[in-house]
Amino acid sequence: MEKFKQQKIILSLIIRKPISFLSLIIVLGFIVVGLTAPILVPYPEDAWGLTYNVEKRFQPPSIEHPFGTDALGRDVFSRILLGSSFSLMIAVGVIGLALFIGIPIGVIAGYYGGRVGTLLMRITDMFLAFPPLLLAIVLAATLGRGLLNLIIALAISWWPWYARLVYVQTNTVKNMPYVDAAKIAGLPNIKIISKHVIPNALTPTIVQAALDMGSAILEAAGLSFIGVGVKPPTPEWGLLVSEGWQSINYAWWIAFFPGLAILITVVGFNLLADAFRESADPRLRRTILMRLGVKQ
Amino acid sequence: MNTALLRIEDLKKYFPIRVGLFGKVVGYIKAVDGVSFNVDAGEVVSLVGESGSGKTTIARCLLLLEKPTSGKILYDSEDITQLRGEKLRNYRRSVQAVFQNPFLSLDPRMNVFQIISEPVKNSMKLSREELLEYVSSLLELVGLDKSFLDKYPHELSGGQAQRVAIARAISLKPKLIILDEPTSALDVSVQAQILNLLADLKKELSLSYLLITHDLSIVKYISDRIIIIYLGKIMETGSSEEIFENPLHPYTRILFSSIPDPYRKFGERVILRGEPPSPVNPPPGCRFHTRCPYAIDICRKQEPPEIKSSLIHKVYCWLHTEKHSSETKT
Amino acid sequence: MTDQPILQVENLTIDYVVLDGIIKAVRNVSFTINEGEVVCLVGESGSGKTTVGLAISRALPENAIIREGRIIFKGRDLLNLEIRDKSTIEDKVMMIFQDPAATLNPLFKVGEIFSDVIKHHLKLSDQLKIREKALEFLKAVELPDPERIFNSYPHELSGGMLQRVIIAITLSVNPKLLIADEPTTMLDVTLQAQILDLLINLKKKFGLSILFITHNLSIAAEIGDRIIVMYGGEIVEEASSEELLKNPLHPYTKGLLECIPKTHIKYSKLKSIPGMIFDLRNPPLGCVFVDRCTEATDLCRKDKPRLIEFLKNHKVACHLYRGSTK
Ligand SMILES: Nc1ncnc2c1ncn2[C@@H]1O[C@H](COP(=O)(O)OP(=O)(O)OP(=O)(O)O)[C@@H](O)[C@H]1O
Ligand SMILES: Nc1ncnc2c1ncn2[C@@H]1O[C@H](COP(=O)(O)OP(=O)(O)OP(=O)(O)O)[C@@H](O)[C@H]1O
Ligand SMILES: [Mg+2]
Ligand SMILES: [Mg+2]
Repeated sequence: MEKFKQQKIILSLIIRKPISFLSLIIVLGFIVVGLTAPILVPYPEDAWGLTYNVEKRFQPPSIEHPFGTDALGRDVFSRILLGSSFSLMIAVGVIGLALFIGIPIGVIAGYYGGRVGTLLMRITDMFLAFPPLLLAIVLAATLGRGLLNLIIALAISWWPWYARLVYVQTNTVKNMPYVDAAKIAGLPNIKIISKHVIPNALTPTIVQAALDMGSAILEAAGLSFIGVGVKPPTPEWGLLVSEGWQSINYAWWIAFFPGLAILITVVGFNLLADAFRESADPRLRRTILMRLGVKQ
Repeated sequence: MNTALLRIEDLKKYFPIRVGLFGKVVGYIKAVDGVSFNVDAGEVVSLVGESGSGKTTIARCLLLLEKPTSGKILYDSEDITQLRGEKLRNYRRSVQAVFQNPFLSLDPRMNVFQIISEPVKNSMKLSREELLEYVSSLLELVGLDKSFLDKYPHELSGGQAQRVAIARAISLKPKLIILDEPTSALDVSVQAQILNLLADLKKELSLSYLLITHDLSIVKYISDRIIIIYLGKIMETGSSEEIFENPLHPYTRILFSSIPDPYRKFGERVILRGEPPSPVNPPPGCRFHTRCPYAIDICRKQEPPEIKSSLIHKVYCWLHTEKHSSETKT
Repeated sequence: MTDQPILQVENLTIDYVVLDGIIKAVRNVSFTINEGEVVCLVGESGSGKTTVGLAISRALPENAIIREGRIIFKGRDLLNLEIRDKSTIEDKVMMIFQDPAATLNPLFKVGEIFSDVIKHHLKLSDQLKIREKALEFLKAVELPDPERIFNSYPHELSGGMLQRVIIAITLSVNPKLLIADEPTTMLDVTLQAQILDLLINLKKKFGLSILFITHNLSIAAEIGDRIIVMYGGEIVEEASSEELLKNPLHPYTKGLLECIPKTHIKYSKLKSIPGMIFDLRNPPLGCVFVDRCTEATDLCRKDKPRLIEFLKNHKVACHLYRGSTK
């Protein structure tokens, strides 16, 4: 009987592997910086894009401006630092909104099943049939530029994944003997859902969602880059890259550093997600074949 | 004892097999196919049979987790599927269950106090102190002390977790507890502890049990009556003594022979060959004939009649009809 | 059966690292398995049986650490193998598990899994040959209609059939030592009898040695030549199965034997061993069984009894048997 806590093993496995450990540090670092950036930025006015200083434009990295300055003479480091707050906000917003739509649909369809369940899942599948990024671009373009619109557009292309995941989890949990026990005790459905089904079905979804933040950041940056995301002068990383793109030939640092920030953050999240999946999923083909003596 | 607590009459449960987008029904899994028996007050009835014979499905019908396809389940001479309101709540309280895997039947996110108090809170109004006291008294009944109140399932051993599940089952003062393989996930030494506990609780709280198992070795100790079931149908039923001393159906005898016995060397027992046939198309005639070493012609064609060997010992087998019993002897 | 040991385990000590401590799952375990012998490892949940099995088949999870010990298989130390020796040894030690459904990937057909294994181990690549080989082994485990099973997904098969499939896959790589970790615990009694019968037949047919792990002493006694009783990560008794049943020495073994319900007796109360296993993060200083033993003395608390050969071919670790015959 393996009654030791699964989470404990997963965490200890992650900490033991250098790459997983590094990714954990990156992700935690990103969150801490994102939360504190508004207080930390050395040049707040540059960061928010409130002023510009033409005399200081296109300065290469120096001690004063470690990542240089941009076309309007603003400190790139400050803009990137504050950008992490926006990225965090977008990620949390997109994931939060997508969960807010996806969870009820998944839980209702999974727990009650029947006609309503089938209908809800058909709708979900319809959304899933669109390429998600394309759907997001079309929506963002229709809604117009702006932080809130960007979040809404991404969340709409995103929720069906969570609805599916929650649906599958709910289906598993609803057949667990402890749910039967609650039914036998005469608990009404609503209590069974709120006390047993939701808490148990959501854990894997929440973990998944938290690790999806990297992808949300990447997609948001993509939309901003092609001009359907946030409005300038918001220091969103995708927008920063796009602004620096025009001067890439003579002032590489303006696009390079925000690009690097995106890269590190996204890779950090994805590596962490992989580490979780690897240590949490006992059914991976690799481990299964290993049990049978095949080492690949 | 003529006070039938629960009477099951010709219970059938067929699960439809659906295919395709529109869920067209192409056949039925006949999980339970016409089973009748009753459980009297204060009695322990054991339902014994191999995997897939329909034991759990019967239990789930009794627990209202599954709707019977046909047949009746009478409680206080009323059909439980028709119960509403206060009567339904009363039935729910009276019939409780303990399942095979204690870790799966306890919500991993709740502590022992929350687990045991949940059914109580749902049906009685108690203050927090009263609730705490009641839950502690239940824990004491099942042999655990107060220190377990705030433990989580993963901190318990298999035996302790099963005790918590039992405490939850008796919390509503039921009359009947359905025990679905309550010890088969436990170690042998713990299995004995749990069986002893169940026997004690039965006396103390004047309970009835419906014990479901595939292992005949544990039923003798605790049960009054035994029902042997194969592929959704009853093969033999009788008092515990009768079944153990004079098993009549070939299937019952093979079940006995399957029990591992440390004082016997391997190879000395009859082994049931092959898989049980599919419950979608059960064999015609006697369902057991495909695997029965003694099957004769008629077994393949006609369903065996009920043969009474005593008032309550009944067997469904052609070999025990007057006409055929001589054939098998020779 | 010869008295030539195929496997020697010496002083095996294994820890699991978890966030809140170190689980000392196996401590100082030594035993041997002779060629053609069936040795049963018996003990209750958490006694470290699976961990020993995993160590021998070198499939321990990542958070396990082998602190000490040697595992010598056919004269070679499995824990210090050259890379190039590894694959040849792998074929010779195979392990089957309790839960057949979790061992086979639900996404692949039995045939595909079979082919993967045969390809890897036997270095075959001709699909027809592989198929032929697979069918041969599916037949050997007495599965009806091997063709159909070859083309089935795991979920289409019953528990008993799945366990046979796994045995077939395992045998196809021609192992010399089979470690069977509670292969029948998830099955009902009739299937259990079938699978045990099958294992014994296959043992003879393929000349296997078997390390059979179970918590059920009755099963161990039926199929084992020798029984090793483990408790809390240590071996407490070891003897041939006849000897162990006739003359159990350790109080734990005696308790286990008394727990088995016997069908010919009507009990008023079943015997059981009160209490439960200690926290493996803090194993007791003295005897592992001291908390649950009715005969424990102060000495048992302070001093760990060593596993000694108290009678001929009958080892026990208990202070009751100190002033011993040699
Ligand atoms: N919800 C369901 N849908 C379809 N088939 C089912 C369902 N539940 C059970 N069955 C089938 O009904 C038959 C009887 O199953 P049941 O679980 O009652 O057997 P059991 O005697 O309890 O066996 P076990 O010892 O394995 O628990 C089996 O063939 C099973 O596959
Ligand atoms: N991967 C792991 N990480 C941490 N602890 C583990 C791990 N695997 C096993 N353990 C712990 O090690 C101890 C021994 O486990 P093991 O699985 O070897 O016991 P067992 O005798 O096979 O028991 P069972 O009969 O329950 O299978 C147990 O306390 C168990 O909780
Ligand atoms: Mg069942
Ligand atoms: Mg184990």
